[in-house]
Amino acid sequence: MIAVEQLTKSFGDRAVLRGVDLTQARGETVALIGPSGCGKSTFLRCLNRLETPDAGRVRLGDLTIEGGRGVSREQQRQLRLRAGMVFQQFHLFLHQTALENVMEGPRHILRLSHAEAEARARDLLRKVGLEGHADHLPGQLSGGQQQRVAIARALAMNPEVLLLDEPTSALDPELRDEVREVLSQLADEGLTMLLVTHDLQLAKRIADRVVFLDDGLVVEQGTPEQLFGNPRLPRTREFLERVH
Amino acid sequence: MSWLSLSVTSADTLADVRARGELRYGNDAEGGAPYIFHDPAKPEELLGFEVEFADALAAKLGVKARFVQNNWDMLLPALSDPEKFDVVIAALERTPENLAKAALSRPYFAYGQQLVVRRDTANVTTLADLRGRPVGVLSASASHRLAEAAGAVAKVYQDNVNYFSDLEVGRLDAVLTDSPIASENLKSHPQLKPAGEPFEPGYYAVAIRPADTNLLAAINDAIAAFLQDGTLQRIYSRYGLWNTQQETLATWQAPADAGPAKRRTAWTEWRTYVPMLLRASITTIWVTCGGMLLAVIWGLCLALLRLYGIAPLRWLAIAYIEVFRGTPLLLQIYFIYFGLAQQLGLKLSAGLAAVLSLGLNYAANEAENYRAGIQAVPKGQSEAALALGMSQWLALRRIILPQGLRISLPSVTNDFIAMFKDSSIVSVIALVELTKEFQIRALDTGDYLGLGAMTAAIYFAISYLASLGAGWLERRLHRDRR
Ligand SMILES: Nc1ncnc2c1ncn2[C@@H]1O[C@H](COP(=O)(O)OP(=O)(O)OP(=O)(O)O)[C@@H](O)[C@H]1O
Ligand SMILES: [Mg+2]
Repeated sequence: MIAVEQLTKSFGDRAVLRGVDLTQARGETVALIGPSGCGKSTFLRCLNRLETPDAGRVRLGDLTIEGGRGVSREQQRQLRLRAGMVFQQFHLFLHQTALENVMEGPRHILRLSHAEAEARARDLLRKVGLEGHADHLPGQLSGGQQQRVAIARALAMNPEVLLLDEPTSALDPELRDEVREVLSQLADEGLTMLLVTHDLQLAKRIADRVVFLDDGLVVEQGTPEQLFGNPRLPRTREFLERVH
Repeated sequence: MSWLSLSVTSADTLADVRARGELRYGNDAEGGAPYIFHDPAKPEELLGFEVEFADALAAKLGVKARFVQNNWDMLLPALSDPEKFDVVIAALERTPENLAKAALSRPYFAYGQQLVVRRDTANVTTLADLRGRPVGVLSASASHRLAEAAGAVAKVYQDNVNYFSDLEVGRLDAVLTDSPIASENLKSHPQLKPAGEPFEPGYYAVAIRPADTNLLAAINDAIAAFLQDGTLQRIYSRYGLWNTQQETLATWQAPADAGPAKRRTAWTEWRTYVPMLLRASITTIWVTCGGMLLAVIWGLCLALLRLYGIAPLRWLAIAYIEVFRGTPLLLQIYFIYFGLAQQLGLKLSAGLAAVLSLGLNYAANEAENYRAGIQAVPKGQSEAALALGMSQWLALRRIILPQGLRISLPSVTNDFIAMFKDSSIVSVIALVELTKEFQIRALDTGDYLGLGAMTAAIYFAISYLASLGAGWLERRLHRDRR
């Protein structure tokens, strides 16, 4: 489903990703953990090319995209259509209501009719428990509600995989559960998700596999039980102790 | 001296002049040949029959003459300030209107009104032939009054030069001007010819503050002496201006009824002046609205080119913005109206040139307003749009611009209100808008206070309505966001 080979990325002479390999099966939920600054966000952003990777290869379903700048706009768009993105800071469109945010993609990118787009958006808002907030602007929603709208917005494009960059980190602890709830339901439904998180509780609850990234490399991976219960490497143990 | 009927208090300007050794006279060097102009060979020196007359007059008083530059329109109002100059020697006509504003000497120069037309014009010999047709005149001059009275469409200019070029290129059907100006300019405009004989004799006089009776007497004596000893004849002959008309100066008598005209004030005759000002404000409004419409649209194009254009277009947009922001609007108006007509034969109407100049100039400001607004949209907004699968253009159109333009809206509406006031500058291309109408009528009546209050009230009403409209628009856009 997803296969990343030898992905590298530097900012100036700082090598952030130093050859990351990762494969993920359809329906699998992978949690990516690692110390701050180890390149987790950069990795996600390279996957949908919000950053341009220097080298390596990303395969997503039938689409194969090489690193570097020689990628057509159309290929890049195809990649982004298949990989939905949820940001730590939500980034809802500030001038649009919750409903309009979710309709925006179907209406203007997939070019569905207004009625179809609205029906799809209302379904998704119901699914994330926000059917009563359809007409609210982002400023009138709590962080947890905004993040659930952002998840609905990404899902409205029917992506093959959902990339989530610390979806609960910007939330007050008491608001995290509502988002965890939604993500866990999506995992149960078999959505393919690649999740960057410091929220070990969330990782334990929904991840099929946990990948530990350190210093631009995948250093250890396994099931949540293996990795959290009995990490192989001292680096991993050290990290887990610090986070707890 | 029967014309001397103004209030008499002891005045010592004459004593001041003698003590200082200098007679300071106000004039406008833009007056041009043959009145006052810069020597083409030595640009720092002034020539002209008025310059030489002033020199002779000062010499007669035992002092030197010193020229003080002042906008011609504002010479008489400025005379009331003793700090500026002692007298005005600037082709001021000896009319009841001017007598109401200052004391005037006996005439030192006689002239008539001369019609000037293009060589190919037939059947124009008098003003009556020009009813309903555009005639160039100097602002607040006798020509202006005569042209209006004859039913011609008076196009009002601030100087004696530009109406001849507009006559040449066909924007005017005729120019009505003082005979010396006509004969001087006919030399350099072979395509133009005089139409009919000079008519409506008039006289130029030296203007003096009413209290300066000693100075007035001394100047009158000097002029009388110059007529006796041939000084004026010598000076005027050098400029080809001595004629039989000038000979009547020696025997000139003030008209028996020539007391100062009763001052008209804006308040007593508001029924005349308010409609005049309101009519002129229509020009102000449409010039501003047209200019702003252009500025808003063209400014957006410039902002987008500057932010997202490919390199050469981006540089062009930056250059445009810097040039239009970095040069005076006045210069741009002259360039678009006179420059294009003379160099490229592109004869824009005054209205179109005004809208273009204001629009092209303000577009540079609006472009920067938009740019600031667009750049204030958080980066996450465009990342979210791109991550969703939007093209750059779609993200711009659907996500960035709606937010960026909303941010820049207050600055844009501010500029709109500022443009109402800036639009007064288009009066330099013979467009009579609110401020120009005010100037013309204020010079007629001398009532700067009353007319100024009326004009200010109209400007205020327009700006207030415009800001109400802007507020409504901003609230509406916010309501859209619910
Ligand atoms: N646009 C950029 N330009 C330069 N350096 C960058 C840029 N983006 C990220 N970096 C650097 O790359 C490194 C990895 O950043 P990244 O955001 O991927 O870390 P992260 O693992 O997501 O950390 P965190 O857990 O704090 O979110 C950091 O040192 C960061 O400073
Ligand atoms: Mg990060």
